[in-house]
Amino acid sequence: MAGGAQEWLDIVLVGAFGLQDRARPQVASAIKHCGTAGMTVRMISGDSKKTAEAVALEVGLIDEPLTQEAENALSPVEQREYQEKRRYSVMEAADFDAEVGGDLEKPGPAAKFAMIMKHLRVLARAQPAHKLRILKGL
Amino acid sequence: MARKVAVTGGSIADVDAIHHADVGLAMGSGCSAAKNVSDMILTADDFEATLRAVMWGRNIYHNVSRFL
Repeated sequence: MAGGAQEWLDIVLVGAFGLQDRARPQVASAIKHCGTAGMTVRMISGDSKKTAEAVALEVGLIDEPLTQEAENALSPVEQREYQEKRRYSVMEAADFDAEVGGDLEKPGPAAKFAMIMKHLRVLARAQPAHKLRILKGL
Repeated sequence: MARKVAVTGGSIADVDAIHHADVGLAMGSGCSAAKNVSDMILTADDFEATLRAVMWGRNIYHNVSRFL
């Protein structure tokens, strides 16, 4: 064993702590009202996918994933739709770029962009350029 | 109805997007560059204000269209 292994055996865990930066309490209801008013809210974040997804769940930007049983209970068409939604509602910017492909001026990428935008609510690990790209594409 | 894109934010990374959005909203606590390029500044620093802004905007728009 590496030197100092004995020292590790003497260590006692005193405690553990975590930090959380919670969303403001009004945000969830505001997002809900935006939906009622016909607005779609999307979040473009520099945070990691897991962090962004957790925040999005907290404020109701995305829904809790279905349990396996609930998913199996869907019709085949609904299942396909659900899987598409799962795949595109939260994305990392790099994956988003790869999926969209090239320039939004071209018909292929533009169609893919429109399809993804139907589902996309959270873009994680994004650069400032992604914000511009998305708002110009919408 | 044509869709419009509003962007909220406050950091340097948001400046470009706020500038090019149909409606750019900067947080009052945000950096001055973001506030300078924005159309509107949310002094309350609260996302809920975005909703109120849209509500008032629609309200005024409808009132003016009735008058015309």
